[in-house]
Order: sequence, then C-alpha cells, then structure tokens
Amino acid sequence: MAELERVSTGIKGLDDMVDGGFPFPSVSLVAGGAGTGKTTFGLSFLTEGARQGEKGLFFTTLSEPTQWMLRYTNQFDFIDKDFFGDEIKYQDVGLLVQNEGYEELLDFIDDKIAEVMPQRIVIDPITVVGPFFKEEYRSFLFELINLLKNWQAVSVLTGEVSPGMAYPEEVTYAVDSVILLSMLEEEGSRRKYLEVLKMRGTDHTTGKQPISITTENGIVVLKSRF
Amino acid sequence: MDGEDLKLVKNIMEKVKKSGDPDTVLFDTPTTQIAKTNFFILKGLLELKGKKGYFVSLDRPHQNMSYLLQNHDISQENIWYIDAVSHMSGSKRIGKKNVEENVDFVDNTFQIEEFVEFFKEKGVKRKNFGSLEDIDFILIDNVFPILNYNNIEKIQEFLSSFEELIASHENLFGLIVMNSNSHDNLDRIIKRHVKTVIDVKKLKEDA
Repeated sequence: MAELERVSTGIKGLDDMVDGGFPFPSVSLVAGGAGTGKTTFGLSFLTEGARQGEKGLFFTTLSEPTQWMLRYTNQFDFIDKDFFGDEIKYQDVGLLVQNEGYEELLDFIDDKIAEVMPQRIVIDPITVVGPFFKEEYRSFLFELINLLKNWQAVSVLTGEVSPGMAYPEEVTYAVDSVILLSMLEEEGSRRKYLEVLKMRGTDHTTGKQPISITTENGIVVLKSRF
Repeated sequence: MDGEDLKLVKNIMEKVKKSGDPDTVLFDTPTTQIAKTNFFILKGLLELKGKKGYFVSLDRPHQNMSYLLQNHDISQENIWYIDAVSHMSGSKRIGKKNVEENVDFVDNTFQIEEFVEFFKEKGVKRKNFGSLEDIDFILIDNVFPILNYNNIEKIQEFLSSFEELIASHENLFGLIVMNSNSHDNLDRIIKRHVKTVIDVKKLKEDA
C-alpha cells in the first residue's frame, strides 16, 4: 500500500493528532469565528515550511497591504521575519476579488503559483469571495480546489464562521481536511479550541482540544484531553 | 527562479553529464520538491543542453508542467508529453490553459507494465519525434504514485523493461524522480534498475 506522505502543520501538538501532518498534496479548510486564530494558523503553517526549505505563498483576499500584515506578524516571536519576501511571498488579491470575475482570479492565482512554485499555499480568508461571486461561488470553489490539488503543494484555505454557523459548508464538501477553531465561554472566560472535523486518509483525534495562542509560540494544542 | 535555483540546475546537469551515456538515473528528492526538481531537470535539459525528449506525467496533469515552462519562458519545441493522469484529474480548467499541443494522453495508468511498449510502438509519431532514435531522454515525473494504480510486481516489470529500453538505445537517458523515503520496497527495486542516484537535497545544500 502506498502510504500518504505528510508535511508538518507547524502547530505544536496538532501533528500528533493527525498521523504526523497534512497529507501532501492536499487542500484543507481552517474555519472559525473572529479571533480564533485562523490567520495565525496560516502563518505558522508557512513559517514551518520555510524552516524546512519550502516556498510558501500567502494570498490575502482582504486588500491588506504587505506592511499592514507584517505590522501584526512582527508581534509573533515564532515567525522569522526574514522569511517574508523570499521563502514566503505575500500576495494581495482583494482588488481582483472586488473588480474581476472568478476566471480572472483563478488565472491570477494559477500564474502566481507557476511563478513562485510553492510547496505551501494559504488563501486567507476564502469566504470573503462568496458575496462577490454570488451564484458562481460554488463553481469558483470547485475550480479553485481542483487547481490547488493539481499543483504539488499543501494548501490551507481559511474560512470565516458566523455566529450560529458550524462551518462554511460550501467549502467543506470539496476539501480534504477541515479543522475548526472555536471560542467558547466557560466559567466566565472565553476558551479556545481546535477540532479536526475531517482529514481524508488519516486516523485523527476527534473532539474539541483546548489550545492557547501566544505571541511566543503561536497556536499550541494543550495536551490535557488526548 | 533565484540564483540558488539556477546553480542547482547547473549542478544537476553536471551530475547527469558525469554519470555517462547511456544511463538510467534516479533523482532522489524530498516529496515536497518533486515538482520543482522535474522543472529544474527540464530547464537544464531543454534550455542549457538543448536536448529533446519525453516527459511522462504519472503524478499530476502534464498541463501543470507545460504551464510552468511557459511561465518561465522555456521553449517546449523539444518536449513531448505522455500524460497518464489527466483523465483522472477532475478539472475542467486544465483544458483551458494555453499550452502546447505536444501531448499523447494515455488511459492505461493501471497497466504500467505496458508503458514501455507505448514508448516503442504507439508513442509519438508526429513532428520531429518520429522514433526513440530522435530523442535524448525520457523523464518520469514521480514513480511513487504508480503504487496507487499498480502492484509492486507490475512496477518491477515496468522498471525492468524501461532499463532494457534505455540500455538498448545509446542516445537515450532514462530519468526517474522519486523520494527514496516514500516506500522502502519500491526504493530498493528502483535502485536495482538505475545506474546512478543523484541526491538532489545534497546538491541543493552544495548550491
């Protein structure tokens, strides 16, 4: 049997929950509400790749200039700033999302991937695209995910979850893995959790695992529950 | 591509040259670097060495490599693709890429042992790729995924006939790419059928 090859997620404690890491190649969704750590997850994932000598490509759909993103990442001790620009390329596609059709966006992403030849790709957040592409959103997602699967890379899409929504279901059906990040109010304080909802070909830990997010270590899965 | 990448391409070509003709060479590279290694080999062979050959897609649709070469302004006049995976890729978009028409699609991915016959008989009867005597290399993009479609005996059969094919054509290089840590048994078998193993990770560190 050909076993799946894996790459480290870059999240302390998560690799132990998922047979060693994300299958290579694969496309994963990391979904959660505001402040649950989706962007931090994406940056940790790319930083881990850069440490292994892999190229990373970070697409933001938010029209955020590079210096704005770097301003916040500078607060994280676990991210080596020297990686940005060379090992990790940052690409804003916000204007394309707002002003062009989905074919143009796919062409741009395709071209950028061909130019950089990354082993790790993050699109943060993918759900912002939905209202712009409306009824074409599902077609876009289908084509995007197939495009990503056909490149030799591990891709992480982040997805915003509105209050009351479990996860963005239009994305989950097409990806290989779904990781949920959540924040629950317990005993008067908000606690953060990570849950592997699905990972194809993987014996993964189930159930919500408590996490901490710090500027020193990023996201860490606490070992109290597994 | 940065200066380090270009140096790696030159180092790879230097190693291929040193291994001597005719030969079957295994490029041992980390799984995450396989697509890039294929690209570097093709850049070196097509652009630096002016060679002509087949690129056999077993891992991902040939359009991706064709698109990469196009994106990096590498002429595809001297490459012919033999694509055994596009029929399983599931994407409508792949057909929309503006790539060259130099390809044969094969759908017998599950009969890898028949591939060598394809190279000899059915393959490329067009342009200046008329026969195996007209080309310099056959590059197989990644042997490991063949295990998804074939058992180890069939792969062994394929590798034996591939080695014989290369040995019987003085003009031909056989080039195989794989991560030797992917599958111990497959690694042992492949190494029995190649004359030279090039450690790409080490070459990169030296670059």
